[in-house]
Amino acid sequence: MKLTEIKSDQYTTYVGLLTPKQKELLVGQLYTNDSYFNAIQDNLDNWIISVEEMEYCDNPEFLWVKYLELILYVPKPSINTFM
Amino acid sequence: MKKFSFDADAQAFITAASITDATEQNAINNLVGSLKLYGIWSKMKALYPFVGGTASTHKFNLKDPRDLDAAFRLSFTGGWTHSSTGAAPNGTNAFADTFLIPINYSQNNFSFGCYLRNSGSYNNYMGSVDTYRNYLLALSTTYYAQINSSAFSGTTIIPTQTTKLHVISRTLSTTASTYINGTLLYNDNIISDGRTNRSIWIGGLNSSGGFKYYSSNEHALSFICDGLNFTEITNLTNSVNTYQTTLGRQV
Repeated sequence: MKLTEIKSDQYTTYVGLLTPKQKELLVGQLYTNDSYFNAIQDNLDNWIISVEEMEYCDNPEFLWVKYLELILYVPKPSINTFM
Repeated sequence: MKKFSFDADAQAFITAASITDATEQNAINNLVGSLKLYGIWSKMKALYPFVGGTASTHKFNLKDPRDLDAAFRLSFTGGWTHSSTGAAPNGTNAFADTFLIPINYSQNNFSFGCYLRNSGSYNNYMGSVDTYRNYLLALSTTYYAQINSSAFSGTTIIPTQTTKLHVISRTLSTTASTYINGTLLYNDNIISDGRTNRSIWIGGLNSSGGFKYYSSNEHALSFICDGLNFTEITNLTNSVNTYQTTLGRQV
């Protein structure tokens, strides 16, 4: 599934799947003015970014994120590390 | 004829953030004036009014509008949605680093808070934690708020109000008080015993552990301040509510 196939109310359901190499390219980079990419890992240790970063990206160097394959987002299990 | 001019601190922010809308300019000016009238302005260390509608305007600290980490200018990371109503993290990977580290401030004279416009699921509104805890955190209907203590109070309070201004304040070593919309939620009698050495985040928890408790609550104002008493929190709440009403985004 691609970004153009989902609606805004599905943004929290899906994330963009990155390869490890793609993830390294995004470290410390801006996707738009004053907004940095933040690749994280899902429950299967896939590297992912949010649909917001894909949708709002206007940095010419990283427009390729708009064409990432979307997967359903399953976060890592909650651990009460704040305790 | 004498020309009207804004408060100098308000003008500095308006200029730095390039706020051109007259309603927003007046709202900022009146907010600063109100906080000075109530003696709260001088206590503020960081105050983010989230006005202007973009990351580039929302990043500025009204108290010190230089574009520097040392001025506690925000750095947005992950998926934020910025609009005229505020800054909304996505609850997946979004946070804003304030660069303000509690260990550099008084252990028993500290407060922080945020005006929220909606409820989310996993909700860490603001905070940092290592050995010590500074956070406003709600997990579904369970609400945790702590400031400068290593012990975990484990207090389970179900708030009836999850939007509007949330504040936690410590002015004593023996008690930290949490308020929502100017009403006391609870007094936490956990004694302060230290301060985190991690900067406070907005929209997530800056934790030494792996889980960041990203939230999806839209922030229409956030702040970090010296400790505030009940009267000051009342005045701050009224000032912030007036600010939001002027901008047409009160909840």
